[in-house]
Amino acid sequence: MPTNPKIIIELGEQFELNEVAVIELFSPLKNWEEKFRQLMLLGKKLPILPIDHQLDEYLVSGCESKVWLVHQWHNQTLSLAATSDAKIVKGLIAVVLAAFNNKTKTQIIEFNLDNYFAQLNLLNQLSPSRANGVHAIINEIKSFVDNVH
Amino acid sequence: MSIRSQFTLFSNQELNTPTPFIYLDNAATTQKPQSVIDVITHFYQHQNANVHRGSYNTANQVTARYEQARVNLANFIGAKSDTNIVWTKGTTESINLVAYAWGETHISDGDTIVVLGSEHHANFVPWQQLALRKGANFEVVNVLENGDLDLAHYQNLMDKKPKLVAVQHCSNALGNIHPIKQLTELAKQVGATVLVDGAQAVAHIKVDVQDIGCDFYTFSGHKMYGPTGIGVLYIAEDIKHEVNPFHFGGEMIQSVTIEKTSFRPIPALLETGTPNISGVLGFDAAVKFMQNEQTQHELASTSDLYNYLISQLSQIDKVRLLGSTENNIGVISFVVDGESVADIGALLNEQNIAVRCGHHCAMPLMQALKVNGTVRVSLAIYNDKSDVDGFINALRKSLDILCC
Repeated sequence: MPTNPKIIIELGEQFELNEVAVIELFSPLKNWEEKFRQLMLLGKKLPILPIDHQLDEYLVSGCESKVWLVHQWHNQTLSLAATSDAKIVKGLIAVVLAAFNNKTKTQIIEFNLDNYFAQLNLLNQLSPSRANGVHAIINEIKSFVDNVH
Repeated sequence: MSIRSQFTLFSNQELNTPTPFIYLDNAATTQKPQSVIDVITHFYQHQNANVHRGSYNTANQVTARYEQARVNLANFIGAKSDTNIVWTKGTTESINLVAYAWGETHISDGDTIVVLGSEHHANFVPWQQLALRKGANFEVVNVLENGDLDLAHYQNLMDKKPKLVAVQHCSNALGNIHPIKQLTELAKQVGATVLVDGAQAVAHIKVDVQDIGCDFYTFSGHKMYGPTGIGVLYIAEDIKHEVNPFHFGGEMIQSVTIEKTSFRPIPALLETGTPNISGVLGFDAAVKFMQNEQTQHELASTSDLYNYLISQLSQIDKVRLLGSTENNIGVISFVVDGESVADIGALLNEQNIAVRCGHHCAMPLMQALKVNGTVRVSLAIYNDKSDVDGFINALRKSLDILCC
């Protein structure tokens, strides 16, 4: 469990972006450059994960770059906070958190990820190892849901 | 016919869409000239037979070509005889082969093995593991701030009278050329056996194994315009008697009874099983390619392109070049302050630029240089100014996106 549940709940609340907003941001973008610039901007919207939460036990395995992901259940919703040492990955984390942060267990289970990424037209922009990294983060979040009582 | 046009991969339409494919990952592997591809194709289409066994014409012809390749290779690196040349899968296999075929019987408890701090894992881990198996001391020569080896430290380590000194000819991550003859002499003075990892050297500098004076020298075909899966282990005449068989099977055998087996000498001793025949023939074509006048001429001019690359890179803000650029085979590693190399690699990839980003299988070197990884640009003879310009523009654009 994270060292400070309160901080994670706060970080989760600070990140207000949701999947509808993300789709709106990406749908007019045509080329790779615009998409990566948007990812950079989204990465900057991630609340800063305190350094004392960037512990090895929160590293997501299967990512090429380092990704720290912490979570806390609060009023039946999942608070998420995460960061990475790579900027593109931070942008991708923001895209993923927009879909899952502050959502209930049912919302997370019912969320249509394939549809989401298809609308963003983003995964085919990524190298296989990057795409695997995104899947690793998503699987980690799904494991939080599976393990909740 | 220009050098570049001999590499048909570069004219592949798909590869050059939407922007030209710029290949600057030559330290990982080089592209293959048409002459190498043709030899391999021709072998399978017209001459395929096993070597050394045939009683028929085709097999004998293939065997003759296969053995001529060994002679040509021996000449290429200045070996005394073709019997000093053992075919392997590549540098990694060669080094592991020496670690077992020689190391198992010649390294024991309390012996010392010396390697450089900038070694590729392939010339680091086999010796580290051998030392662990045997209870030997594993000593690593310090890396200076500019990536060169600390020669004073190397000399100090020679006082420990190492049994084995295993050194790279050139750094794969930084490209700097080590004073290999001097290192070998110093090691020989204290009675050490010397292995040189020449994987990065052969495509760039003239290698003369007898002049160097080492016991083992190894390299791979695919880093010098040849096919993958074929390499060489040179074994000096004087050390041959210390090398034992490692894999057992056909070809290496003099006679077998139920009680015992007698073996043929090196190279057969270490080449059991059907070899990579097409690989050897392709490798031979690569040696010819290296030796032709046009290649040698181009090779002489790569240092101009390298200097241009360095001068262009130096002008970009926040780019920090690593390693000495003097006496270099045409490799530059760099980091950009505040940016991850994975990000830079991803954005360069978007622009169809092939470079290597990461630790380059040289983690101890990365630790010595205090970086997690680098972006590595490595040149080959077919690269030209437009490649460097394209790369520099793409890098500027990548940094612009990352810093926006």
